[in-house]
Amino acid sequence: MELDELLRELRARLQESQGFFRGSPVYLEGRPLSPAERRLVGELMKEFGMELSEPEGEEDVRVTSAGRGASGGAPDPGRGRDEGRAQRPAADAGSRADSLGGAAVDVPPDDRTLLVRRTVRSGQRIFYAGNVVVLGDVNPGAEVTCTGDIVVMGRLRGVAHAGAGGNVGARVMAFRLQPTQLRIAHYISRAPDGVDEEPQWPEVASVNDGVIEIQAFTP
Amino acid sequence: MGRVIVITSGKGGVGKTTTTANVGTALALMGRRVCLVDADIGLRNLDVVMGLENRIVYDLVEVVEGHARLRNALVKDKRVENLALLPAAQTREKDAVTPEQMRALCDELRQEFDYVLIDSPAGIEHGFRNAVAGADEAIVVTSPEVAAVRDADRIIGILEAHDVSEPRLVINRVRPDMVRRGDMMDIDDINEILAIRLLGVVPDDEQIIVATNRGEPVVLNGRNRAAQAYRNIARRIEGEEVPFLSLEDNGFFGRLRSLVGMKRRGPDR
Repeated sequence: MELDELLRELRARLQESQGFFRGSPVYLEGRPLSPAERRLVGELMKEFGMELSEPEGEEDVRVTSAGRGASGGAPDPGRGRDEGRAQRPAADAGSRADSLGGAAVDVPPDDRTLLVRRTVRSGQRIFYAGNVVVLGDVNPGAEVTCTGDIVVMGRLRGVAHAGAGGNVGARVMAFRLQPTQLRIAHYISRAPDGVDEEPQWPEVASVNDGVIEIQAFTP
Repeated sequence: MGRVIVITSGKGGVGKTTTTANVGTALALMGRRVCLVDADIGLRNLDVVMGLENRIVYDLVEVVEGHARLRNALVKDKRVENLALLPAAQTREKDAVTPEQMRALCDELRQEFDYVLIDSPAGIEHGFRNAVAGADEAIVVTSPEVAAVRDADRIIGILEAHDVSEPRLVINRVRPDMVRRGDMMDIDDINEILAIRLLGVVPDDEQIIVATNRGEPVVLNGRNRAAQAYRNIARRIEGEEVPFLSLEDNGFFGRLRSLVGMKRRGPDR
């Protein structure tokens, strides 16, 4: 795809999102861009309130857990993003961790999770770089798209696209899994024709052997 | 200061205009001062359903453009006291009016009326946005069909984003026999998706078609169940707690069946 076509699509998508992405960090994947191309992308991002992060190695996304041991401890949500960019050399990360008394936990950017505390109605869309948890239903005509997993604590009746961006290991879970369409990475699936049964218990969908499979959810 | 309520649905043909006409008339019959506003510019219907089309001199667009006084545009109903209609224009289009103009108009109307009921056009575009602009409350009308409920859900999402306080639901054109057979969504099915407070359930009734064709809102003369349902909706809007009508067929065969113990039950959940 040509860059300007890409930028046009991106612009259209961002306009639809109505400021949803404002303040989010942006990571580029794919072929390396020339400085001029990077500048174009950066300008577009700036228009919608986002910063294109500088190309860095993996070190800059370490998140230090506040206080707890290596086994657990939620990363301090307020510091995650800034911390990520501020810590360049790995040595810094180490010394910071020591001073807080906890071990550094590697949290890749895609493991952030968005908590949606309401039902998503028809025509509404959620886009997120990370996982999405919905406390409510996802009604038919609604769409949830994210790079990670999708968990619906309610009825999933709309379209869910987990692992958008290529994560084939992503999963979709729901209290009642009855989507109009299910997508994981580039796999698309829908309920078999003629089957009208409502699920009776929580289920999880994942890709197995090249197809999307649904199983009863057992924690 | 009056209440401004928009009656909307998303889907066309589910009964917004009929609901506006009948609920408005019922409220006026209860003694309230009611103004019905037809916001469906270009495809006006409220005047026809109310039987007032012959008496239209000026319309909403002319008022908003300053060519006519609001007072002169209002068509007073001769059958019911305290009931007036502000008709839409038939020869113009939805963009003839802006949301700001609608808001100003509603603010003017609420000084004089207890209720301003706005009949919204179908859709989610300019016409709908105009209709919602001046309203503080909303009634969402749907029929018990998957497509209509899908559109109603969309509309409710938009209303919630617009800060219109808790919309309430009217389920129109219910056919109890179809519900019993499992061929039609029942109230629980609809509620599971829409999850807003139920204002009323109106059964499908041939008399409605007869009445709208004649331009006589069914609540004026009707003793049928649809008329009763609309009257109950008006009472609930006024704050009264009215139990929902049983939609079971209580005709001769219905009574016979229940006597003989063959009463049919709804689908088991």
